[in-house]
Amino acid sequence: MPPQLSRLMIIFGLLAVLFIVSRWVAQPPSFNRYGHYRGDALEEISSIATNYAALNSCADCHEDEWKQKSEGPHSKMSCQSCHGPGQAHVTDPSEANIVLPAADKFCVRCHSKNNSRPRNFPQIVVKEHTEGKKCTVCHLTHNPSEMK
Amino acid sequence: MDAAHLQHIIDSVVGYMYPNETDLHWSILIVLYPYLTGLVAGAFILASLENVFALRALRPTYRLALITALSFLIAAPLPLLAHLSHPFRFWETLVTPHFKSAMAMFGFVYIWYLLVVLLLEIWFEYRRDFVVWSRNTTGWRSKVYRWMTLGVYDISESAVAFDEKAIRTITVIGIPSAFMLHGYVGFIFGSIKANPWWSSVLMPVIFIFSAIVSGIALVMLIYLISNSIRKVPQNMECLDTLGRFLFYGFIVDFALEGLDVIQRTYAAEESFDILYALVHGRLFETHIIFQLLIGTLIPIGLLGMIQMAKVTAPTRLAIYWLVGFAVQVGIFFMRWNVVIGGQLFSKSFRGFTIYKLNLVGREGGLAAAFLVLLPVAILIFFLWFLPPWKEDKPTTTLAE
Repeated sequence: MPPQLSRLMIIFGLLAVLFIVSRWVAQPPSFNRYGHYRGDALEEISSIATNYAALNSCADCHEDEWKQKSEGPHSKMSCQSCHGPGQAHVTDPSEANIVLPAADKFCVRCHSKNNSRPRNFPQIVVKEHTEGKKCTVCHLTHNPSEMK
Repeated sequence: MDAAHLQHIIDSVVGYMYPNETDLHWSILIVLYPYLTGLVAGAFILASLENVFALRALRPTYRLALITALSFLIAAPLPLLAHLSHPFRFWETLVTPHFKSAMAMFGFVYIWYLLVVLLLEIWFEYRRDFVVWSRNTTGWRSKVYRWMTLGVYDISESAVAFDEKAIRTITVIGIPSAFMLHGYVGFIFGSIKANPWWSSVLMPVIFIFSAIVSGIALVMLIYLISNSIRKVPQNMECLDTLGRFLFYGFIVDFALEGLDVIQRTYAAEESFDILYALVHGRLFETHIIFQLLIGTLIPIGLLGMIQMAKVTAPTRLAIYWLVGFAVQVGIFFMRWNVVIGGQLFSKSFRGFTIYKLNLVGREGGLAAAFLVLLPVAILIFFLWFLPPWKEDKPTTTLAE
């Protein structure tokens, strides 16, 4: 064998050994336990405190609002879409509260007139429609298709 | 990201964007990556042309092309590492290889190309010189050359003949490897089904041919510049051959991109209207002016003129200078239009956002300029440490 080849083979052999050893040293022990990830990661993730509560946990205490929402066009939306993450409030209502969105600015995020929104989606030209009033002055808060 | 930056982007949105599309995820650093690897693949393929087809006229650029490819290959992954925020995350892709992920396999494609193709070919090509230089120089240079011989000092005819045979074998492995290195970048973009600007089976092939064009043009430019600095007469036979191959590469590249446009226009899928508005709106300057006009049509026209008509040597030389720069601009903006363009429109097909390039910051213009200049600095070092100017005796020069 020409000396060029034998020297190169030694170097490539050393590199291969280096790779195998570093893989063996650096690969986390729980890797591939369940799939292509660290098995321990599952426990670590599940131990992180959650921000969002279970979808129907609001109904336990706020039965009226829940019923109103389920009869309206927002029935498929989570309460937390408007009120923000609620786990802390569910855990201890006396310590933490949910967000009360500003009715004049919040609703128009989705319902202000925009040509790129689907045509059958309820949209308003805000200035003309509200005349400066908050949406909840006329609309039922948790079922806006009903008027007060 | 600061609030003023985000506010500026939100204010510039036209129509409807999904919230996670408003600010671009892939910045100029991701534009640089395909640009740099394209130059690597192109320069290597140029070097291979000389080897495989025994094109003696290209001999003066053979070593130059190899060390250009090496310089740019060393710098090529740096934009990706900078973009990662935590650069050592790349290490995870090596110690926990994921064979079904194209992105995760990049590290192995890169290592294969660096170690098995480029460094090996350069080592065999320079081995004889390492031995000679280790004897002719003193101090640390002599020591480094001696290390680089790997202890093999045999430069007999039979040993050098073996080197040449090894180079030919590596070239045969190297050409598909170069295609793989750059084709896979196009493959990643082409496989993103959700994005109609990227999702095309032609993408890997277009990337490869644009890489060939950019690599040949870069080596031509470096050859022109280095000859001017060294005050060596320009070798017109070599430049004309480079120009001819650049022209052929361009024709294939232009035909493929044209085919892509024609197919998209004919198929006129639901995304066509937004893509049409994209090209004629937010991408007009970078796509129509820089990529198509300056980077493609003008160079093809000028190179085609040289092939068809009798053009005097000084004019041809001026054209090669101009084309060398124009192609770099064109190919850079081709990468820009792919990477940035694909993120400017909403996947709802109902709106556009903008890309605002900051000057400073990890993904800013200065960082990008540094990453483009870094391979040039590496190349200058290599030109000094591994001078490629062997057999550079022109058969026809400008003076003739």
